[in-house]
Amino acid sequence: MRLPVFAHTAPRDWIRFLVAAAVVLALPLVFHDPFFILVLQSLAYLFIVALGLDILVGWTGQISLGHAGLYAIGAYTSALLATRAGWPFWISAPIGVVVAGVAGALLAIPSLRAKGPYLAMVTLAFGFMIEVTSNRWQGLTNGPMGISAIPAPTLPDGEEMSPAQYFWLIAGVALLCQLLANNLLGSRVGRTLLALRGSEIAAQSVGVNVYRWKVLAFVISSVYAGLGGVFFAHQNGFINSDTFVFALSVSFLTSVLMGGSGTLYGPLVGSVILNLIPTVFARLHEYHLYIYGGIILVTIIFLPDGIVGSLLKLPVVRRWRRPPARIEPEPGGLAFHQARDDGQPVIEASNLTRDFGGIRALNRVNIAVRPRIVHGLIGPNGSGKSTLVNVLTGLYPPSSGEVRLQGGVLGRVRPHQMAKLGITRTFQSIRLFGELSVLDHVMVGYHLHLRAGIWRHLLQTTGAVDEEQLFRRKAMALLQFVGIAERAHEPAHNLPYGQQRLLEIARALALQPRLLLLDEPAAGVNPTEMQRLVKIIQDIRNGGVTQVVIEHHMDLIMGISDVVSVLDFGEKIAEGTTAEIQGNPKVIEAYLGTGLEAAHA
Amino acid sequence: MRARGWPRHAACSLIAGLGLIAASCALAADPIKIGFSVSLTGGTDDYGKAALMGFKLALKEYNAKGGYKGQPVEGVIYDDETKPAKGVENVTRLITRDNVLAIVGPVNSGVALAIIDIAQKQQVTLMDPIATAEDIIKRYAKEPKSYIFRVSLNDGIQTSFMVDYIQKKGYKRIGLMHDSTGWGQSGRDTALRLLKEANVNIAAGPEVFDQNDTDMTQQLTKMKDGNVDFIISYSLAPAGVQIAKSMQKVGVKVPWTSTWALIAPNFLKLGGKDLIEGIMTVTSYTIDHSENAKKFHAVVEREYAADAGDFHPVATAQTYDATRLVLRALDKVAPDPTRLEDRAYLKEIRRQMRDAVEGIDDFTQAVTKMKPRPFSADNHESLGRDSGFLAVWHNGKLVRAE
Amino acid sequence: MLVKLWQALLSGLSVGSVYALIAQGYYVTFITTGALNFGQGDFLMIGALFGVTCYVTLGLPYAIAIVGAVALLSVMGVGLERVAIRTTLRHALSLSWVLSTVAVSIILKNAAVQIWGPEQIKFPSPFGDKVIHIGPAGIFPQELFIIFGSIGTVLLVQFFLKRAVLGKALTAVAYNRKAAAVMGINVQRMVVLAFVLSSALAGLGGVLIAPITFAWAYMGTVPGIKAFAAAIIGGLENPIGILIGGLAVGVLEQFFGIINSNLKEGITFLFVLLILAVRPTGLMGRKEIEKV
Repeated sequence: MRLPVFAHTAPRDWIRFLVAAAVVLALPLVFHDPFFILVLQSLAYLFIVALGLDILVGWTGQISLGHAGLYAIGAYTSALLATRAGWPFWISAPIGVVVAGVAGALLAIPSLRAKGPYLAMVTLAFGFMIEVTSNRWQGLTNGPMGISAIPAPTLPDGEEMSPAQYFWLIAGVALLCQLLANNLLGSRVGRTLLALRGSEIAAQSVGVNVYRWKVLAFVISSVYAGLGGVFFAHQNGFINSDTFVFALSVSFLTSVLMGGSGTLYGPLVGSVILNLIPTVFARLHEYHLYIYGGIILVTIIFLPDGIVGSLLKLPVVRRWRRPPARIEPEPGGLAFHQARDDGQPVIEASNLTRDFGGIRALNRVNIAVRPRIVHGLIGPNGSGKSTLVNVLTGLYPPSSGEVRLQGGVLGRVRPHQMAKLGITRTFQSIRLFGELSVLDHVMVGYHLHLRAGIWRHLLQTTGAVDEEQLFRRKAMALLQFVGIAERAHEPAHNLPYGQQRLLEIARALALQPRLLLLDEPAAGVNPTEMQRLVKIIQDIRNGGVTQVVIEHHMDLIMGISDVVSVLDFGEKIAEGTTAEIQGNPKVIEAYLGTGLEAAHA
Repeated sequence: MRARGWPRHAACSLIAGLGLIAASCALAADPIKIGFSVSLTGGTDDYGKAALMGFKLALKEYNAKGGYKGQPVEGVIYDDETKPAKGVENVTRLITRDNVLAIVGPVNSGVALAIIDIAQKQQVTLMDPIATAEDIIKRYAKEPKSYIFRVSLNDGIQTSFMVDYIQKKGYKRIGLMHDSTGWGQSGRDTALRLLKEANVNIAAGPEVFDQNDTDMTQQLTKMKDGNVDFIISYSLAPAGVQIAKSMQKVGVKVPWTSTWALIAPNFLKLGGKDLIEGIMTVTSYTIDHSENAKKFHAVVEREYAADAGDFHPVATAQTYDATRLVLRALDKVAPDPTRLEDRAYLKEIRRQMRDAVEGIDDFTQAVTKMKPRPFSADNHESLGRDSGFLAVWHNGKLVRAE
Repeated sequence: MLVKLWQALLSGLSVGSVYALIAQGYYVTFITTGALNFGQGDFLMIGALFGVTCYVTLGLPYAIAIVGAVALLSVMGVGLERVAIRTTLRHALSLSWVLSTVAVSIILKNAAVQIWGPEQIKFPSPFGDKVIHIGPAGIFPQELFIIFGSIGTVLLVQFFLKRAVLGKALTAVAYNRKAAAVMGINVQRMVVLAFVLSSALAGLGGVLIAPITFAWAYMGTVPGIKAFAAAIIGGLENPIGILIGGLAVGVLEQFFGIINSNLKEGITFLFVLLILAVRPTGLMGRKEIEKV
């Protein structure tokens, strides 16, 4: 008996949620003092803001020091519509939320190319602009004199809501927000955000449009912030520009980090504790800021993952969590894309040149990769092999020359678009997705094949859940293929080095590429793992996938390649069968210098 | 005798002791509480700390004389951090949790505008000792029973002194500057209104600056371009000093004034008596304008010598008087402390407090310039046009401006 | 109009050069650890207030006040690294250092209020108060000292980083931690040095600007943020960009103040938004070419 939505939520989860909801909603009945209810209202909407901000900071790894600005936009929009235009809360509030979301999008779109401290500054600048604008543009906001007589929401009978009823409204919405966030973050959406946080480049290589997802996360957090702002505006009937200051943005961020960013309940714990401290210690009017700063500092030093984050890492908590259910691999789940053999090379570099400042890394390279073969690529260090792969997968544009795919010329194509065209790669230095499990890595690889979008995962429809289950079984099959299925649920970074390389291959195969570029897949692996790797490459070729393999291990390359190209100083100096290459004097000279023979003939 | 009789003795003592405790429980009740919520941190915290001194002094003296019916009155003190939302929270808490009979505060006009609605709605007296925005009293002035009172010279009155002076001296081209805070902006509006009413021309401005700006050369250059002969500036003491310094850089030499912000001793300390020579300010109180004032100042100096404090004598004095007015009302209303747990009774007492404050007519020990009858049904401003004057800094001292 | 521009330029250079000084502190810690001290402005504040204690209260010469402030802040830099940075940087994806430096700044502000009070304190300029007229515009001697002192210090630090052995070691850690460690450089010590240097710069900035701005507990927030903006506009990893960025921010604010005094406050941030939209690593920042 499954619901059409919330299809993955077990009865036990429902009970927990309902109990929590009942406790929260009963609070005003226990603490019916108007002061307590005021405090409870504030805790509820500040929690909403923290929840949204965590999606951005904790899950997507993007910092924002300007969320007070989005909060302000929600507050002012609803307040102005309610007072100047006389619209009821039930109309002005949703509009306020939408406007905040739009503002977030308008900010994010030009700004999210910036990273780290640059992004911090952009958001900070935005927050200050809003603060200054709300102070100076008195015609609109009335500056510090503020907007007063903002009405509380009215009930159907025309009466204004009582404080307790307003709390129930805010808390109800907050509970819903948490529920939806849980759905979202527990689904492929959360997984994708964590993936791009772990490695943007690797995520792009399997088709994640990293930029678009970052904007999405920003917009979601803006919507939550705007919602908080709307509830704030209608709480006390008065808002002014003195509220929406930088320190407020800092306190939002603080509540997220203190609670534990990237967890489901960190924002709840963090925001409630942080916002209660001033109220609890209000009597100590001389020291309350010391206490505030002190608590933050102590928490961060002793619990650097935040309160919830640190709790989750405790061994006792770990043991208490249900171990994941065993997943049966999907029979026939291993699908290889059959490359078309129409005589055209799968991919072709034509007079390809790539400069980095004064250095010419590739110089008029011509390489054609025929379908369904293993095309080896060798050359001394610095000869341009990785650069060639990077250009072919869209990471860098060529300085001149062309790349042709299946005969057609490719313009400027980004890595995630290359992935859509069926081209992906593994990396010379392993790029994993942070704390994600082995299985989840492969699931990210299926990014382009998963159909259910954000809305369906928000509501956790049966379709979305079934799709996830199906692909998890396929993923197991892939893991079995590379031989690491028994470690499916472990965090990927726990794997030994060689197995991490195998995981990268499995992740890439999940895309069902027609062309797979392996960048030094055998670097650092031991002989047993090497054998397995050889078998895997052969199986992939037999499955019909074209591969380009960069390697330094001559045994490996010579053993598996159908064709080998040799680069030196950015130029192709030789190409042919393995036998031809091994005997080629130019190749020997490139590796060993003149006057010496190759170690293996 | 001892060894055998002690159980009986012990029992008697115990019963007697319990009886005493029971008796005192019946008599004891929650102390009477007066609330206090000002900026102790944040932008206007220096005024807040000065106000706190006045509040505590008034309570201390009252309690030293026996308190209320032999019991000390308790002051419940909260910091509003110069944040309107915090002010709202504090006031709500004071009213509904701490059951105060009246509230003294706030200092900051922005916070004040947020909290007066609650005080009025909950029918609790709010005695504003410092915040000067006109609207604070105006908003409920027309109500039959307004719960908001003020012991401070509001912006309108302060600006009127300036306008009087301008008219007296015949200045024709006025420059207007103000800081970006709520107080500065409302001051600008007040000035524009009063100057228009007096038919005086504004030749430059309004120019705005941030209260912590260190360079006003651009704004002053515009004053210079406008050929002003007098400048009105809504600036706190630090900004006032920066204006004076920037005037030197730009070469502007006209007389100028601000509101009472420039009587702060810090203005003299930061600027030095040479820099501030000739700058005008509004004042309602000098530390020796009356016997009461002299005595009060001596007490303040003694009490707070350790605080390196002579923050704002005026702020302390106004809060001192404001608190004493509330305590006066308390004595007049004479509630029964044991019944204050009854919310209906508490509400009634609070209403009576308001009426009592409004009706005080024998307050002769004011240290500020308020009259023995400071308020009336249609006037909740205890300090009016006869309570202040324009003063000028001369040789490190304030003298009346001629 | 020309007069206004000239005055704006002079006024802007003095405040801008302090931004450049503070921003250099951000640069040094950012390149070595990827972290910055969000309380840098409050470190500047402590430098200013301690300078007051030395120069005003104790009557020591200005040079001693400078040395004293720099010394105190250097010690605080060690403390900051130990307390707020070391523990939080262990986690690669963590942003906890933002939080811990913010917490330190809150505590510092409070401590300052307890020790020195909440009000502004005068720091008389050792160079006197007589306005120097350069053409039709005026500038205080202290402001000239600030300009030369700050720019000189920035250049001195750059020289140190590029030529002195210790400085080069620090730069090495900035480029490649692991390689530096392998070469025998004590990475941990270099990190501490970076924070010491950054804090010392903030302290110096405080003693320089206090005679102009007054010394008080809340003086640090805005310069800290403006300096951050300047660093970002110039490009956080380009020291010359930072210098130019700092001066540019100071001057631009003054220029826009000519048009409308309301613009003065927001213009820096508007520029940040515009510039970063087009060049995500700042005007002169290194374009990130990650080795893949």
